[in-house]
Amino acid sequence: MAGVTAASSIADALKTQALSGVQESLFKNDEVLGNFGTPIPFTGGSTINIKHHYSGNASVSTYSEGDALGAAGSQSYITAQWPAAYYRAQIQITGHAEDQLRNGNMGAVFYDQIALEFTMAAEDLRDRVSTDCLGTGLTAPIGIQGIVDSAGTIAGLNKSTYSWFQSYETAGATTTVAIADLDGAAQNSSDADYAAQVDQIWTSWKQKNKLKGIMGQVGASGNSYLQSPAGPLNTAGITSDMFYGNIPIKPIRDLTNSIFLGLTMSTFFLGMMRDWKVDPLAKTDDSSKYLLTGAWGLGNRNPKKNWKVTTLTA
Amino acid sequence: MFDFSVVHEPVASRQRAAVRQTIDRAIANRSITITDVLMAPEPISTMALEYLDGCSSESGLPQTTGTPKEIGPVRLVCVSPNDEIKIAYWGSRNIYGTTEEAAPMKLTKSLGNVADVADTYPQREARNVLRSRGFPIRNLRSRGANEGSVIEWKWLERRAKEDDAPDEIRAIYDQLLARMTTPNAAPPATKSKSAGSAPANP
Repeated sequence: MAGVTAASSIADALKTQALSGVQESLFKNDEVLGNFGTPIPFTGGSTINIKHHYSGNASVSTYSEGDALGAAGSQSYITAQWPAAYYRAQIQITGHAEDQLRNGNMGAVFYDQIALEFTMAAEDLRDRVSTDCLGTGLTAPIGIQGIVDSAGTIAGLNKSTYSWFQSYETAGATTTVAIADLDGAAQNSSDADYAAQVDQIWTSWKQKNKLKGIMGQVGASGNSYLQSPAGPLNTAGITSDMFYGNIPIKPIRDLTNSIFLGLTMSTFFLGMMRDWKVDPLAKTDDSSKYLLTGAWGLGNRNPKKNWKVTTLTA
Repeated sequence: MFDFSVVHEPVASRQRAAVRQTIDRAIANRSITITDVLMAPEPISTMALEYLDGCSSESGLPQTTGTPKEIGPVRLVCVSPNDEIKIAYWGSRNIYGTTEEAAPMKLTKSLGNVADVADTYPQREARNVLRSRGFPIRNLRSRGANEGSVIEWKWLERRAKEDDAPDEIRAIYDQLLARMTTPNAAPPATKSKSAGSAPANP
């Protein structure tokens, strides 16, 4: 066939092409840290210290006319010390790469690879901090499963010694979640002396759906499953489509698939020892090097006000 | 176990000294029970637990002051014959279908209806069971709102024989006496947060 054909004669003229920008296909967890509110700056030293008042004045009493005074009493306090973990990422770009990428000039590249090395590394760091926050750490990096636990030494306090620092923890009656498991945890932790004010329940997506199966389906007679009219999941600001009482059950990606956590969210804080920063380092050969760092630590003002149901492996 | 004078010592240091004396005396005459310690008013309970665990917080920060005291396995009994005592420990499993170790997770071990439970530092398994499920510790701490379901046999045995024992304590004692002689599990193996292991997913 004569003439200009797509099959053979336009290759030299046609630019290699793609839509500009990059589609993120790597899962990175950026959904956790925002739950802990605005980060709290450290105030000096290596820990954020929380003073716990754990005992009142034992001299409090009623008395009758003429009664002699008793012994004076006093309040008692102990300090919990919440640490931070330091996080880092290193970036190195050769002079040849900078030249050929034209320093991210969009006339030359589909995406600014050099800039993305920084923004993606920052997301990788946030993913790592999020994963640690969902973990079991008792020392830096501390995890929420270590905080909401009945044992272990955390923030310098052994929960077995300082029993007012223990969270209420119970194992599921079987490996499949039951309403009675949540009821037991909720009633024990809500009454004295735990006195929790749980406002979110966290679990995995799988366990949330297991619970949904137990609670019943929308429209089925006798069901106890409530669905929020607020909208779909996965939208910022929407916590869940399921509730236990009026407490949203929030599925959390990356959370271990064996627990339900009843959380009094106001007790949690994210300590910020060092906000994210980028420092240029001395050049190596013809390469530019950068160091991204930050220091963060999850903490809790009162672990007693949170509960955990464990061993739900089904 | 802790008499009025201990609770009402006006100075914390003297209160601590009185608590230490009381604990030492109770250990020496083998009358110490975890239930008594957990039911003591604060700060006596915390001071006693600190002394048992070899630490003190006089400075406001917990500091090691001595060797933790072990009071041996503690016999625990479920009030209901159909209940079981569970001990939680950190373990790990392989990601199902792989040899890759999954993140640590809380596992539990059932010790049966009656068990001699270790109470070694720092795990303090028996203490933790009694803290969350102890009878009548839970009853007292929740101000009657909830009831414990596991009882410390040594405490019950003594309390049921005291002149001012509540009728329900005597009734529980009589009911449990038959189940007391054959604990059906050995004390649990000690496991740490990072070192636990468990079989792959069933």
